[in-house]
Amino acid sequence: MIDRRLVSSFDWLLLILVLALGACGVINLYSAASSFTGSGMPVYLKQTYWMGLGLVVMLAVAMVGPQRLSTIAYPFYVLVVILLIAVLFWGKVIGGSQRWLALGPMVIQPSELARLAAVLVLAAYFQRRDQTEPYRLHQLIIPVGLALIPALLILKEPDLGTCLLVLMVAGSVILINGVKLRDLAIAGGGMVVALPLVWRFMKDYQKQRIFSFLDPESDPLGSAYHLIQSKIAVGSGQFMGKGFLAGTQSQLHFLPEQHTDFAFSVLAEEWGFIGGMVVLLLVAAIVYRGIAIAYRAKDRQSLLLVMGGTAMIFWPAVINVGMVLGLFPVVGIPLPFISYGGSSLITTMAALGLIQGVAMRRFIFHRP
Amino acid sequence: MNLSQVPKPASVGGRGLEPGENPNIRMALLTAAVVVGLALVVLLGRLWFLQLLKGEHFRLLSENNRIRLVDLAPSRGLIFDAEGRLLADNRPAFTLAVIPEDVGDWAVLTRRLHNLVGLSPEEIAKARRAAQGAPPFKPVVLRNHLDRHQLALLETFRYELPGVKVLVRYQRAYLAPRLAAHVIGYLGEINKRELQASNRAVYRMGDWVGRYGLEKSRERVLHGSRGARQVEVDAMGREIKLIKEVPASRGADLTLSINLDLQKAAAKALDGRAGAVAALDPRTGQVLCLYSSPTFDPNDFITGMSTKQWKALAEDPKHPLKDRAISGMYPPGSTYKIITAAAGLAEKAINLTTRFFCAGQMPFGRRYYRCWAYKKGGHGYTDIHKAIRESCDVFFYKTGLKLGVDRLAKWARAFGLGRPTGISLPHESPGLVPDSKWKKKRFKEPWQDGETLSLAIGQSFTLVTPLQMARMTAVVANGGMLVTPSLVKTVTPPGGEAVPAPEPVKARVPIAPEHLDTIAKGLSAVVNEPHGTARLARLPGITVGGKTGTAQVVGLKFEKSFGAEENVPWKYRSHALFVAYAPVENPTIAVGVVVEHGGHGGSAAGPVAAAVMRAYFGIPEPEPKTPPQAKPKPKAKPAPKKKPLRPGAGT
Repeated sequence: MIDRRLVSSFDWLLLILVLALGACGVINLYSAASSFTGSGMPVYLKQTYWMGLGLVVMLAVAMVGPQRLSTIAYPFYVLVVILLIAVLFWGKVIGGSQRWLALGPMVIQPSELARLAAVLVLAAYFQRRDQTEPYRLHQLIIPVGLALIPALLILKEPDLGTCLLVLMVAGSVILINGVKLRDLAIAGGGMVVALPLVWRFMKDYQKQRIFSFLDPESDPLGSAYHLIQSKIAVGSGQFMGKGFLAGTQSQLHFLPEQHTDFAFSVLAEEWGFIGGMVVLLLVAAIVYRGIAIAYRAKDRQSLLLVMGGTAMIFWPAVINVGMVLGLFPVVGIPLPFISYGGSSLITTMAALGLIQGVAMRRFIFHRP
Repeated sequence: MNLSQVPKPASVGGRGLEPGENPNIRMALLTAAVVVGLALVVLLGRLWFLQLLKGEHFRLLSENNRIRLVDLAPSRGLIFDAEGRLLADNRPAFTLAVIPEDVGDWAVLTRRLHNLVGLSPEEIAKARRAAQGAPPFKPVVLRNHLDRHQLALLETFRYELPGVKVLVRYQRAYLAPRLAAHVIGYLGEINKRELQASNRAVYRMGDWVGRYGLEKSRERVLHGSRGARQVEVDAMGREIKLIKEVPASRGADLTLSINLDLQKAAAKALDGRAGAVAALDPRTGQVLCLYSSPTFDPNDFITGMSTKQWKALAEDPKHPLKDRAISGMYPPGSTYKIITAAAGLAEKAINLTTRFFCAGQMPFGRRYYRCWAYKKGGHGYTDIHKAIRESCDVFFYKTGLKLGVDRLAKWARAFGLGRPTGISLPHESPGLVPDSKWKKKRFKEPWQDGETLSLAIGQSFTLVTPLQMARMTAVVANGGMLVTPSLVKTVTPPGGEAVPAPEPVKARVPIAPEHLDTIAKGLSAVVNEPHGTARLARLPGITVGGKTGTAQVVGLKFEKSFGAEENVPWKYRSHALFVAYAPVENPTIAVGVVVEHGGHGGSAAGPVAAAVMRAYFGIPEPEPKTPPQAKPKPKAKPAPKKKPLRPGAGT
């Protein structure tokens, strides 16, 4: 039933890299959430189960493969948009924003699925157009619109971080597909002009975060305090780290959200530069593996699915680590595999499924 | 296995879009690889910078990480009455707390605290368990509301109690506790679920939030926004340096339209009987008095109640926690005749000269529907003025019959019945306006015309709240405007000028002025003319208009079975209702009163309304004399024949 060529072409190196990174995450969570004595399963164990479920999702997506994915791209996209609208009406409010939707016993975060939906729908769209020359701006109205619909719905929740992520992933797919350089420059200039407009629509707390990023002294109580504590945690790790379970910053709860958004600070504190470097190199290796697979893709859609999947891992990693290290403003985006979170992990594994799906069909030639 | 037979990978024969063949895509992938490389270099470089170049500095900082964030809770906005008298204040209260990381020996501390303030080891263990997972430098509250004696002891032995802190915080104090408990409401400690749903910048564990009354509905305005201090502390947890402080900003103060004098008058007049008073200014909708009896002391919710106290309060058969003024639902009795009269005139079922003959009862179907004046032989020829003045049931039976249930319902709704008034208080009841559709849905039976007769005199299924009654009366008083009751007159932000609350919404009731005028004249006659049913509500120097109502709780036959009126058990006695407004020439107050199981509207509820209006107009109380005992009036009822009967009419 399963084509042997599919199995033999499976990218084992990619899987090993992913498992290694996932293991780093679970070990780190054991420490980061060790003092959470709340009822229920410990966080690291939950993450392990999510990881297992994620592998199943990855294999499933990989088995379905790019051809059949293109047929469900639009229905899936519509479903996600409906969920995003539903969350605005019936979503659970946590921490002042409405992101979670209860479906029976499960609580899902539809915004996590939005990245996946955007990649699928854009790949399907560009495949159908099958245009080899770079796109002009006016030809990009529909693809940009497809990306903006979920992004704006997420912004409304409000969840600035995830909204940016959807735009960055979608933008990557559009750019890889090809945009005429001159048009790209025009679009870039236009965005600079539009920036003040965006500013006007931002929530106060979002503006506050940007202020406090630019001038940490201005808000010693909120995000800047978190940033200072995160930097102290990372910096004090030095070369070798303070040792597993021995990070004073994290064990004494100076870090905010230390098992989710700031999990990397815990890792850098306890494992030092060595640990931080290993994680960053693992992420980079996964991303490079993705680009290599993209290079050998057989058609436009496969190429875009792989690069979309790769972008889904690259961008959150860069933004999260950049934030934790004080390079970017504090936006709540989890670090793939290292931060705790089921929705995020499943989405990331689905992205890997996109990559594997193409890798497996490296030697299969489809006749349209 | 013959290796040569393993199928070779399909060679790329066709056109295929190999990225290698498309220079644009090749370029894009190359760019992507470079971007990834750059990002990696930047992040690794930053990591290098923080951990190796600045590592020593940060290691030092982390070892002395004694930079703590001390939360500054905002103080809650104050609440004043219309005359500027303070109703809700904040007073200092002392809390015993402990900072876990600064405690050396828990066993010793537990023993000492037990000896000093009587804290049991279990209480301490429980508090510690509850605080598990919280940062060890966050104070854990062991006991609230320390008294002066305990405070002195703790202060004396403070050096033998490492980690123990006495926190001063401001807690709510209600200064007119038994006069405006339901309106102002009370606070409660925030719970986990609310905390999760709220913005972290606004609420923290241990905060108090409005749970009832205005404290709840105006929580956002009253709460204020929190501040914090970033401080450096020494190894003992004592502050040694203030790094930064953002002061908390206190909540806004509210000045209500409620007048404490009127609340007092209402409380005194009701004298512990179950009932409620609602009074508003018919010109604006501002609520002047909103009182529900029996009441409770909201301070008990702040200082904590024993289980026994709480049980007594929650299980009191008279339900003191319920705000009867806005959530008590009563049959309107004859006060509803205002609606029937308005509907009859507006829908041209009757006109100003229509006269019906009242013989003391009216045959309908196979039954006789009685007028309350049955024993006197009826009212004879009756026009609308006389019908209102003497509350003639037969007149309104006939009017109601001409209108039908659905047109009556339409006008009841136009006068604001059947839906919440929109006052900014939680738990407001909508009341009930029945119509034929409702009956079909609720009982799966069509509406009977006989029920229309009961409906027309306010018995049937209709239910109203005292506030709805006052608002309905205000429509007559102000010439046809349905006002939205409002409680807050001005909001004063900290350090700012008082801002008047936005003008409440008004809606015009589509009724001709001469029709309203006729009803108004009738209501004035109820109080001021001979044969009127509410002469007890007269005030010296001020002309009052009003309407009595008596709403039967059980069938008349059952009520009569107890013999004399005094022998009827309390819970089977009729509710007494009264609506009024004054001065008739230029009304500035409209009142709705219910005295539960009070007997007759005129004798039980009328004096309550009069007392409140007296306080409003500043008329001194009359010297006490026993009021002439109102003669018990039999309620009209259909002559008993076959079926068990719906309660009959009231006065």
